[in-house]
Amino acid sequence: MKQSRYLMVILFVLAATLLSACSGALTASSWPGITPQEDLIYLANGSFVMALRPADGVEVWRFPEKAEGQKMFFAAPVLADGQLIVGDYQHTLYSLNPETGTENWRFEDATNRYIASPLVVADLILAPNADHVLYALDLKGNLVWEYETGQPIWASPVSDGTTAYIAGMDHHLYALDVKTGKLVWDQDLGAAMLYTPALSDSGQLYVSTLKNTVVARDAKTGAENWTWQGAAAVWAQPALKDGFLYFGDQLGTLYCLNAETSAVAWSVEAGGEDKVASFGTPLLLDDVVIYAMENGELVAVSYLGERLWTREAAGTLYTGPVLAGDRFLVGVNKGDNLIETFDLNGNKSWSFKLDTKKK
Amino acid sequence: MWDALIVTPFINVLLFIYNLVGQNFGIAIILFTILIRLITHPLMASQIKGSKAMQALQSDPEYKQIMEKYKGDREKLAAEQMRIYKEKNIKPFASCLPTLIQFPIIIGLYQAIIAALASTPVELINLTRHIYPALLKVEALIPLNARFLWMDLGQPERLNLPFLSFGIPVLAIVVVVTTFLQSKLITPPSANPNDQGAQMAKMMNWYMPIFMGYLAWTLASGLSLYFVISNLIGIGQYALLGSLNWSNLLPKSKRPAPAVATAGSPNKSDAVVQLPASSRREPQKKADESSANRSNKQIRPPRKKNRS
Repeated sequence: MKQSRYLMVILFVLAATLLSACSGALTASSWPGITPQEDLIYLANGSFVMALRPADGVEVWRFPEKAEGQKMFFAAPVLADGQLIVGDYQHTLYSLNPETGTENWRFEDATNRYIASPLVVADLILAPNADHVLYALDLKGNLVWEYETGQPIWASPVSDGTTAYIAGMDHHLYALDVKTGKLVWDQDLGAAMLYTPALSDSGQLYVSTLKNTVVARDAKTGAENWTWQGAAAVWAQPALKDGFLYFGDQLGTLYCLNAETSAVAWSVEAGGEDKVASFGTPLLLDDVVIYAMENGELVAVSYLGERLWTREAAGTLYTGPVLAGDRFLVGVNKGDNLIETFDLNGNKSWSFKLDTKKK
Repeated sequence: MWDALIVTPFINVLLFIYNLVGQNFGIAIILFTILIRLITHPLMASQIKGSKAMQALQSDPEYKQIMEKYKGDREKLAAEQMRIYKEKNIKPFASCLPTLIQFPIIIGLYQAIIAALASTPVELINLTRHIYPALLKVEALIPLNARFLWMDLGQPERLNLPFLSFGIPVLAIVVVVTTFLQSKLITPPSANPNDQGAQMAKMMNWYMPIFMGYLAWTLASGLSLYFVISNLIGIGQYALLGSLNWSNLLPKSKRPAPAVATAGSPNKSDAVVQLPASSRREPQKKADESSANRSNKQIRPPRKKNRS
């Protein structure tokens, strides 16, 4: 009888683990958040924030040293004023020493996840949270102001230094005064926005919505410039260069749009017959635009719309590549490695795999 | 295949209900759970009937005799059991088959709720892929309004009161209570409360609520809400079929076990009277082998009486 009791307890523990694994709470997942800097590459993924050596991807430090329950990090850390700011998937925003990974301070007033990275502007940390609130903190982690929207905020703010622009899941695009947090204007775009708007030097905001649109708005007034209706969802912040916008859509079509008029300059059907989706912001290099495809492909297209080469990262790509010196990196989901790196010609360089046995 | 046949249709029905009830995800989960349980009610009813019939058979004198008589001969025992099933028109798998059919439906229901509660970008990408564009519009649905009463259905629930420094897991407590009630109320009375099956059932009645409570404490509260509604519907279904055992909720009286107290009575639970002669010879020896056995303790008094 005693044996069967032990057996039952073991079975319950196993069942609890399995059922928990099927649910959102324990397996909350997103793509690795990567912030390349000259000295170190910062990575937020799962239980840890890590610093890697740019030359070879060797881990320098990790925070916390040991996984702590359900604490998870996915939003890319932000380096500002000699501190590394990163939010977790519970409700805490941390300031870490970028050299050592030791904690400076933490802010725990939020009640939900930090899906997006914070933005540091005018000595303020603007941290959007899934509890619908944009928190503005000073550089010591003290709350200065907060602004509540109608739904979770999953996109980082963008700012011209005086106004911060927030793309909300409540369908609204907000412009807030950075110093006071007061609303300057807000516009209902008719669908949720999950990605940060691109802000041009000429004062135009470009943002993708879940209505399969990319919208251009005047940053000063919020007035509509144009709305481009696509065939599928755009899961990316459009990349802006020399008056053109670059992004891919869920059917795997890669676009280049005239930012002034929304006219399609060119498009490339990169998804093939399976319509493999393109996710994340494309990387704009000198001669090529590199788009990430869900199936792990990195597709390089010239600025004239010619498909040049394709490279492969082993895994799923939900985020675009980022530049780190003389190579570019891409965060990988469902692969052996968390990061794969390539030189600017697309040749594979080092890759980073999480050392789960590290003490 | 699994997604296309079960999870995707379930997600769409759930979200369709969500739209119908004014975009309240809590109400949608409640109605969706009721709907699925109503659809699977005939299976549930068949399972309860089958299990009742099997339960009744355990107390059948002829069945008991056969079990005792052929306990050393498996083949013969199986043949005799089949004969009795046939004679009494009992289908031994009548209680298992509906459970097997219901199982994927319940798992699908669970997965649909998890998928619809998408609270990270990757989960949202996956959710939008499940939505039938002809039935539902993504831009009108997303973000789902996950607020219900004081809860965020995508997060574990805690009720924060101004005078307390910690949140009370109200829903987890309700899950524990309803799971305990359901387990107690639907457990059929055992012919012999000391056999291994009955002991296991007793243990399950305690472990299950703790297990479910742990899940409700750690998982998204939308799932906890599903657990509560599912438990209440389960109790309702058993009540509808007259199969609730209210007596299980009452504290057990310390009256002597039926085996001795009703000896010679026509009560069908009177095990000793029905035992074959070979087994009756050494009741005390059996009692001594299991000192923790309550009914064996009840057998002792007559012997003490003999000694005195």
